Amino acid sequence: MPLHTIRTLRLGALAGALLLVLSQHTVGQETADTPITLEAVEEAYRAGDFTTARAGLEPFAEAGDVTAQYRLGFMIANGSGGPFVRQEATRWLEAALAQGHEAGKLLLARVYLTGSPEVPDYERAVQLLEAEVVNGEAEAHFYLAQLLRSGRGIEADKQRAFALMRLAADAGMPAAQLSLAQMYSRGEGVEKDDAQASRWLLQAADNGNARALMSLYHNYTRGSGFPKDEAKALLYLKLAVEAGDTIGQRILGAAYLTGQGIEADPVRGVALLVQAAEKDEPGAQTNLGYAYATGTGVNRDLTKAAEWYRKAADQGLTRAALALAEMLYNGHGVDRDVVEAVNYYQIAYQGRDTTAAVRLGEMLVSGEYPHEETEAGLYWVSAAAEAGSSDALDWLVARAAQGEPYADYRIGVIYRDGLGAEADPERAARHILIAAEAGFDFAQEAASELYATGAGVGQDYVEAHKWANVAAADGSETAGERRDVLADLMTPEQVAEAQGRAKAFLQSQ
Amino acid sequence: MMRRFFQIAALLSLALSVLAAQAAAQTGARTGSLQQLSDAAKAGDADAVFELAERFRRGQGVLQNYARAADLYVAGVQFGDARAMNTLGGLYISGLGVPQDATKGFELLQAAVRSGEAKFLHDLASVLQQGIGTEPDPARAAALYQRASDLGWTEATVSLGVLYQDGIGVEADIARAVVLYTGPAEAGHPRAQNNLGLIHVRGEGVPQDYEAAVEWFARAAGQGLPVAMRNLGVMYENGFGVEVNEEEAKRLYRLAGQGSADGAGAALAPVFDPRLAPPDPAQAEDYLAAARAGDPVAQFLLGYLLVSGAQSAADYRQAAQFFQAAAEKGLPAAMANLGLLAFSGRGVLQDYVEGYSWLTLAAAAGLPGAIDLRDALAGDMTAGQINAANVAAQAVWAKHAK
Repeated sequence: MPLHTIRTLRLGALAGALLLVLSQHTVGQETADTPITLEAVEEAYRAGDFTTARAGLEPFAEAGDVTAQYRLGFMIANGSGGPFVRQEATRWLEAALAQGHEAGKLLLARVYLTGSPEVPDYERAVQLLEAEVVNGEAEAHFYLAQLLRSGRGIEADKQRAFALMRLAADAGMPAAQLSLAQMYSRGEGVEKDDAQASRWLLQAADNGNARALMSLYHNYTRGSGFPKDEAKALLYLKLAVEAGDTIGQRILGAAYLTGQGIEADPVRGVALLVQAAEKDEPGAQTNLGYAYATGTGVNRDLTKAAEWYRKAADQGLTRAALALAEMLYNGHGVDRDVVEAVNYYQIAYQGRDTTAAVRLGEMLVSGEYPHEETEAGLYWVSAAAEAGSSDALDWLVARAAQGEPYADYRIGVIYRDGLGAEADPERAARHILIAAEAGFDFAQEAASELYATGAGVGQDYVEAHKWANVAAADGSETAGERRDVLADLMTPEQVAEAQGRAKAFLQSQ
Repeated sequence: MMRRFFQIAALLSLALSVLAAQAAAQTGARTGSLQQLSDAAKAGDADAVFELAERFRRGQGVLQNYARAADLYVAGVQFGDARAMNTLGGLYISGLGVPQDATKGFELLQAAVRSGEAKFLHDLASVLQQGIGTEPDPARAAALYQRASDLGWTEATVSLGVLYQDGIGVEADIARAVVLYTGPAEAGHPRAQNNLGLIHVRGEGVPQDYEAAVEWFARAAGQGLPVAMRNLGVMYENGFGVEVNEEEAKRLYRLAGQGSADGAGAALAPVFDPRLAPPDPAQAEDYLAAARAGDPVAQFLLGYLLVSGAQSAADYRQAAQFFQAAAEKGLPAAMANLGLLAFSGRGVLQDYVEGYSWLTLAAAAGLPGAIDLRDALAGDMTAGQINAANVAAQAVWAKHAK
């Protein structure tokens, strides 16, 4: 049984984009006693009760009222009175368009270009935009230009993209002005022209475009395109923050927090960081975590610190993952949880954080590591050994004795470079050569280097050439270069001997 | 940068002289199929014996085999053939196809000069100058160079010039050296050009003239003479006769360091068989399908495309695998390219024996240019490696012939 049935329907005229139509017609609910009138819907809209207005429009739209269809599509597209649901928005806007309501074209195109959760429908957007371009709509020029630049929904055409972008920029659209600046600076669809690029960038910035302002901030900071000017950089950063730029909020917030390049004002810094962090900007969340952890600009609060670190760490931010892992491991601000700490150490390790590797290695050696050892385990313990853990070094030595060439190689590197243990060239050479003989390519290259320099072994170009040749055959380009340099210093007899030994080595493998 | 000094180009490499120049002198002496030559040789035809030996030495129309060649030269020596004496002498000195024996080599070179051939006079002079297989005797070397020079042997003229320039075996006489160098230098002889350049740098016997020196060095370097490249580098490094240009100097030193007078670097570029249709990158996928199905030409074309646009070690390794597959099926161009990869150590272990062996096989299989390519790359090899490559190629050939 349908929820709504329509009793009578006569259409009135649309009065302005944001006004609903007043009409005498009513739509009633079968189950309800009082009929809904468009008058009531209008009343609700004016009162700011968008939920009621949106729900009230539905029966009229269903009944084919073109104005109601457009209004409903408009509200759904803007997410007012309920969530944005692309499929619903396009349904009503398309329905209105089919009945000749042209005003919704541009909005509809924009909705089609929206990504999540559906895949954008570039082809349909292009159709709609082409029609609006003919009408001279600046916004249509801008959107179509972007599609022509990327070749989505239409064959890429940089020249036409430039022409349209120029029209939109001339019409005063800040986003178009920024894009035009980019096109001039890259020579995209137009001859490269840095002066024009600067001019349009400034124009977009004057119009308050946040990205343009940030771009100016970066340019003045790095001195690219303009002379380096920290005062101006700061000015543009503040303007971008005023325009609501999230990254700008994070950068300025961090600057106030630490007093770098600006007079320190931690309270203000925290306020800005909160703005960005609440928009889920992971860097700001991390900095906020730091502010809470250290009591900078806020009262020290380890629980809150852990919360903010977690938000950023869950987005994969290495620094935050490491900080949170340390808190979890030590039970600071959160309950101690080794398993969770390990998970976050691993996130940090994936971001190539050495400290995380060292911690994981230490936990593996101490037996605290709660999982099965993986291949990365050897790497972690090596990192811990290089950081000076003698337990880790002993662990590696035991592994090496069991015939693990990677362990031999890393022990060799530790003693060769004096990292985490006192340098011992002879011992280094012994381990590196064991790993090389076992077929480990990095060790073979290192063995070549040992023989070439004579560190810990007698200098021997034949052996150096042999190992470089073997490593090069394994695909190392640097080893190939080393081999060719060595060959220049050797007699043909030495090279012949070295090649013979390399061949014999590979055959013995 | 290391301080560098000018160098004279003293000697023609003996191996080059004995083993390559002779071929130029003798090529075309006899034509005919291998079978015809072989029959004539068995019947006691001395020219046929020599020609057959030459074919085996060069690997022309037959798999190169220094040992077989040496046996045939021995037969030629028994006929009293001076050409065979000269070449066999060279083989003994270098140890190709025979156990190295410099004394025996010297004796053979000495026996060969009785024919009065200019080249043989030059070769004997060269070993006398260096004391190979005998005590050095520069005075006798000078006399022999003079005789060869009088007979019009340019190498001898230039080598005699060196003796006069340095006062070895003769009284130093720069003016005489200049006279001896000038003709050959103007005719394009690189050693003469380099040494004349050196005389202009020093201003001995001629007015010092850096511009002229640069020109002579440049002409010699342009022909691939490493000593000349190094000398030209010194001129650029110091701004003698040219604008100071350290980059150019470094480039020249590097080029000279790469050694081979034939520009081994350039020789390592992939080779194509002109008898095949050129590869079309657009068809790479079709080639791949055919290569996987075992088509050797497709395997070669794919390997060739990979090495021609090689971006990484991975490309070379892939290419080597395709070349290997096609080479084992007997495709000459694949053999040559596999050989080149083995020479340069790209995608496979660097192994000159392997490289030389594949190029020898490619030459015997008739790939145009393979012989010259092989010889250009042999400069860094020992006789032992070349002998081993002959044996290795023989083994592949025998397996293939079955």
